[in-house]
Amino acid sequence: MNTELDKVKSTITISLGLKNRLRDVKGNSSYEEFIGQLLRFRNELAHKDNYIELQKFQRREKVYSFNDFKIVFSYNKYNQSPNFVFDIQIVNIRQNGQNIISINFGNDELHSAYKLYFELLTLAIQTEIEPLFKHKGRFEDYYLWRREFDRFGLSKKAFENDVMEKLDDYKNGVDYK
Amino acid sequence: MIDISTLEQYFPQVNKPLIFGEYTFTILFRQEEDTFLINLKIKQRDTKKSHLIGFRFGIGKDKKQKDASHETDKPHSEIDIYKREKESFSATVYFTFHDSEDKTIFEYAKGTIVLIDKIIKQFIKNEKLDAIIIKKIIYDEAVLDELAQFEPALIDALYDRYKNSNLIVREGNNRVVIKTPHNFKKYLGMNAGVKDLDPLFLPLLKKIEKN
Repeated sequence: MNTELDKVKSTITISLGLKNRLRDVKGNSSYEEFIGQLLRFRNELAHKDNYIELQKFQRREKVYSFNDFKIVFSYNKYNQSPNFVFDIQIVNIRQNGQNIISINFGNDELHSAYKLYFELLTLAIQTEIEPLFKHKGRFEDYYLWRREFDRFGLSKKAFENDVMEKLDDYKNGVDYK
Repeated sequence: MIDISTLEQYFPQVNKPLIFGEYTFTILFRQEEDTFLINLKIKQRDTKKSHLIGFRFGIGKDKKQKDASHETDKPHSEIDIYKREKESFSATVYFTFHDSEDKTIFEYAKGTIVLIDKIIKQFIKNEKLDAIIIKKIIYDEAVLDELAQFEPALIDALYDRYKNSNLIVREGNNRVVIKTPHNFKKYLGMNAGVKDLDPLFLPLLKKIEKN
């Protein structure tokens, strides 16, 4: 038993022929145990091979508004691939309707750019995964991001690309403007 | 478990992005008790245009991960390609070295550095960047003088993985087993629009076509 759902009985519809073949080969195991065993074999096989995983992600656009700013940004629509990343991209920034190049939160320019980036990442997570998600703390807090990505079951790759790489870039002064 | 730390001598700077024009080049080096990683990562800085590209190539061994789609705790050669257009496209390639001894994996790591050198040089040429930056990323001459002999061993090992174990393309719910040069080119070569990794794919394709 792994989760509460594993305790709930359910039915699946399969042909009588397949059911008979399953009954013949399952021996003394229950259907539940036998299908679980097949799944484990399948995973072992799937993991042993070399592979190429190809993924296409739809891009979504959203507007982040605060004070008199409007930030149009895009990101990948969430799917459960282990290769999923949000890949936040700022499309346009407006202040009072006028296009501007960057936002300054009163700190230095680089800090402001990364602070904005992590605000947008938070909004993308709220939109795609969990409306109640709110990053509590400074954006530089790597442990907090890791805990939150784990909690929402987001891929390790997304954590590496969308959080760690950006934090490293910030630390190293990489300006993506 | 191999110790890759001596191989750092071939790079002026590791784990820190080097910015040249609109690209960042990062050599990732990580060594822990039971894991290691050598990666080249090239990323286009965001210029507000589409077609952002990034790719990563290297060798590594990670901790065991329950939900991973490959055996992370086995040494593996890995390639990651990402493009952002109207849709985003990502391709991840893993060749797992199952039964190799540490000595052999260390040789593959050296061969990987030779390929990293070639990929950097080709990328700089294709993107018409100033060749002077090569030496700021990798010590090209030392790599060719001291490590070139290990490249064929890595290509042979990758070919061996291709030949003796299925190379499966996972695309959504589809599964395609690459068994022909045609399919190899379609998914990994020039027909897939992945010219940046030719220093790896062309010798591998040559071997596949020859045999």
